[in-house]
Amino acid sequence: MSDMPNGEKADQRLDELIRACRGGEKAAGFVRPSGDAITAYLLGTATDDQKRAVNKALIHSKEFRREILEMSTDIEVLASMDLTPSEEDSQQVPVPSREEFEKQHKQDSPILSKLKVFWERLVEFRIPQLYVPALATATVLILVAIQTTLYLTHKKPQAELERVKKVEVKGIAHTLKWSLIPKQLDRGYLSSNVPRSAESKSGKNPAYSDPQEAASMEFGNLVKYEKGLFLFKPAVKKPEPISLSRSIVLRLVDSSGSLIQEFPAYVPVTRAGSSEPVTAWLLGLPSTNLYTVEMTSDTLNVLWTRGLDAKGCVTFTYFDGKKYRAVMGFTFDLHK
Amino acid sequence: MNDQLVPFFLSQLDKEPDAAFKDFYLFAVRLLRSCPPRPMRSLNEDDCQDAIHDIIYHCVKDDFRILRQYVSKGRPFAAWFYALAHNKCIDIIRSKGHQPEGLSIHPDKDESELMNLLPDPGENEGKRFELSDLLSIVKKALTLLGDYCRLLLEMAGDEFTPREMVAVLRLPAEQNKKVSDDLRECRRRLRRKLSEDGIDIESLFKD
Repeated sequence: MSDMPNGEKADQRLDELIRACRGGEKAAGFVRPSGDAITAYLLGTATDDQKRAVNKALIHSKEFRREILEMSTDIEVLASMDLTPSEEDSQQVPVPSREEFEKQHKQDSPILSKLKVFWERLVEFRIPQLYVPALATATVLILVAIQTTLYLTHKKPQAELERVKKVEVKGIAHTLKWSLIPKQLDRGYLSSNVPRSAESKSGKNPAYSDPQEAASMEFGNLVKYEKGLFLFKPAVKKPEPISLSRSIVLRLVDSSGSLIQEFPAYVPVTRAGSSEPVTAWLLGLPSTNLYTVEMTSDTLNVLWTRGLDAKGCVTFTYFDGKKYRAVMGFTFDLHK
Repeated sequence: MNDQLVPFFLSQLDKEPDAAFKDFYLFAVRLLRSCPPRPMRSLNEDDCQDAIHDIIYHCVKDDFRILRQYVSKGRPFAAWFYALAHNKCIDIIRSKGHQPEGLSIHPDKDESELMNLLPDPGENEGKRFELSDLLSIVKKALTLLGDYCRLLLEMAGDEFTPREMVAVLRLPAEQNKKVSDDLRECRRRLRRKLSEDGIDIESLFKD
């Protein structure tokens, strides 16, 4: 901060004071506008009342500002996408008839509707008449049991991610939070399959003057953006120990401290680069939000909460004495 | 936009409702899979599929009542549908008893960090500001600036770039520079209001 020009320093302090004034995520006075008002605002067709409601909400909530920013960005991305369904789509996506869709969707919970379909198919197979009453009774009992279970469990909070691996994490004093880079990674950046540099073709980690650039380039080796979808490139080998290296592990944990996934890596150690911290980078998909945290210890817990992307990439950058390089990165899909 | 401003299926809702439904269904699934609204991104596959079906049903029920509400006015249908899907997704998550998870943009500034930067008693001509008093003065000054300035300053506090501010304000992209200039002016006005209350930002803090 002491190297900054005075004007910039003053602006920085003003920003800090404004943030300190907020006293929590949503200030008193925040009222979420109606869905119609938000839609009209985004499309530029809002009435004066709708604009007033949205502007007031924007002033009072940083979360709502972020939401509108993301929606605006997504709408811009949509403008460049070809959404015309192709022949391939109609073959790959089973489309129900309109009547069947509306009938199935009307009242039933997903479990009940699946059970009903199952029962209808069962009856179609002409079960011997003798067994029908018994089966009917059994089905009713099962349905009642399921409904009771649903009712009793309804109010319990669900696990944040259904496939979270519950592992006790020992020896870590505290959990850090990611810092979000204000600007998202441009999706167009990930569109090319061309290797980023001659060095990356040969397997060496290319060097960059900026650690974020090094990380972004590595992400380009891991994921591609094609026809509106983010696709992971074929899995890379596990990192192998390098002589004179530092072994580090980044763990994503949920708010209760349980492990979600961990990413081990080896970072070369150079005398010239030893004073510079190793930095972890995470690209969330499909939002393309970029997160970063400094590896202040060799094993680090970082919080990953519901509401964030379920897929993404992780890499680490280090300083080699002259420039920054990224280690071979990882991809993750928390639903698998 | 490649999907045309008004997709063909919207003109077929009365003439060929079954075909219109099929085309809309494919369109919706493709859009929501390629560019899922944020509330949908953390759902598992089953919940995501259910949410997509709920959104489609919302649009087609009662003889396509919601779809018939779309009016072009030069705005692409995909953008309209995406915004609708986002809002509906939040309703779906809330109806299941959950809250859409908020995203922590920046760690909340530790007030003690700001406290440590304020001068000790005896410095700054004997004045010492209590942080709570300082923040009250800042809050009051913000409310006097007007909604536009206040919003620009809040977005600056969020570390939005001018390009992002233009996106939030739904202004044309070329208004980047104007928004930067407006922000500079709003900061100047805020500093002037604070100085009227005896606060000089540049000398207030230790560093």
